[in-house]
Amino acid sequence: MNILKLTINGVSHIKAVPATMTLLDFLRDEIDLTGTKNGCDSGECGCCTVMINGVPMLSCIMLAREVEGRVITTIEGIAKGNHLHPVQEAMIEKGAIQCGYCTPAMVINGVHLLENNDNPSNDEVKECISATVCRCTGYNSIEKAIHSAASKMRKAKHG
Amino acid sequence: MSLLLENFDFVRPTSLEHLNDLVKDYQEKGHEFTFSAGGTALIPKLKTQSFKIDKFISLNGLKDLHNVKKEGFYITIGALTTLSTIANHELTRIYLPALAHATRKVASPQIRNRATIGGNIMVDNRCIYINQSSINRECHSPCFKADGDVCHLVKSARRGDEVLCQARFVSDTAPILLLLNTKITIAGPKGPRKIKLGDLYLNDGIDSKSIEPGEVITTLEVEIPENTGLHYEKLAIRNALDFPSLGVAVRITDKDLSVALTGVNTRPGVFRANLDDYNTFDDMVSNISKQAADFGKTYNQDFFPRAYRKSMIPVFIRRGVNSILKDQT
Repeated sequence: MNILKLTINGVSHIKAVPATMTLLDFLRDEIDLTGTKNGCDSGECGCCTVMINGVPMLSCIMLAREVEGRVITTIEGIAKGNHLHPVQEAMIEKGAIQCGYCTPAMVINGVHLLENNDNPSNDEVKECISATVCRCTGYNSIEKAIHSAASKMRKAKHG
Repeated sequence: MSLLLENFDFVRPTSLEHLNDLVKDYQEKGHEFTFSAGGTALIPKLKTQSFKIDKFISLNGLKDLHNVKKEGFYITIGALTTLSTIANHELTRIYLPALAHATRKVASPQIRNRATIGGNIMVDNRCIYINQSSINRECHSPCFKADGDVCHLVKSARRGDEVLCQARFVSDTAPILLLLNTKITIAGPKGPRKIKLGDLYLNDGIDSKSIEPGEVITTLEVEIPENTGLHYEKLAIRNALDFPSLGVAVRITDKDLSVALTGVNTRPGVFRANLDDYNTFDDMVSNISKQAADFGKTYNQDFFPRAYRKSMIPVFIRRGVNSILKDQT
């Protein structure tokens, strides 16, 4: 057991973790943030995406000990109180959520894309969600949602 | 509940000296250890328990190895630079656009944010019979790579024969790096040394790199090409994630044509030709395509049929050549 210090969704945590625990298990079992999902457990489906220092990475193929001192954002940290992020709103409006299992990862990837580029091309949107598997929607509605969120964010920024 | 990792200790040295001390200590005590850079290929392997370790040495504490710099006619890249940094870095985009393109072909965006260039050129060889869950592997007899004594690809082979493990080399960045005459610096218990990237790779699918236990790659020195066209094309079922079933890099500089292959043999292959030795340009391309196709000793170790992968080698070379010639005109 070793002591791990890190910040998750703006809250500092100090916890003892075994060396073999993955970041995903740490978030779900130790911190009780179960929004991040476990799909394939081997880095193929993208369900477990979280932001580490603002960059999306896969938490199932990363040891919790590796993120010592980093800032983690999970799906629980995306909305500000009751105000959903534009990407989350657009996902609901465009019917981009069906079973919902991939949604946390799709939102995290979409938020990361739009925070760095509020006018993404079709290819950029496709690339951004390419590594997250969705078996319900057929991806079209998710692409539409990200484009719609992008135009909302542009309007909010430039009026 | 997730797949469980077998018990091990986690250590993160903060300097190369610290790393060497740890390695010496572990070697004396007989510990099994492994290095992890991004860990994106390593941790799935540990989860499927295809090998066991006592010590997990994370290299991410070595801060000096995350950088891209221009030094004269070379771009030097720290081995722990992530693939997405290389894909988006100003220097690589200006001087090595083909490398930036090839790094973008590796796995998925989330993996590229984590995986490193050093890890990618050191990636362990893969085979459809070994990179499976432990339950799946138990259904076959253990193969050479699983310390067994059969090979499921070369059915007649037995341990002790001359036949080596046929697990294939799958790095996406190595072909372009090889065509750019990359040199790598290796640090280790015996001190640093510099070798050509091509000398890193061996014929055996198990012991596939010439690096000694305890040694790590620290920097890559990549030549900036002049008046050169480069092209990389990859064959994969799921382009957003898969390791290449076949990867072909093509380089044309004046009268020189060179081709590098990945995914079809236990090591990458490099072939060079000069127009002066041939009657026509087409002769040169077909000759080099034939050599490359012969090198691609593909087995049914991938989701694409072997005949298809092999027959795509000349096609990809031709596509690469055409695309470079089109860009030059």
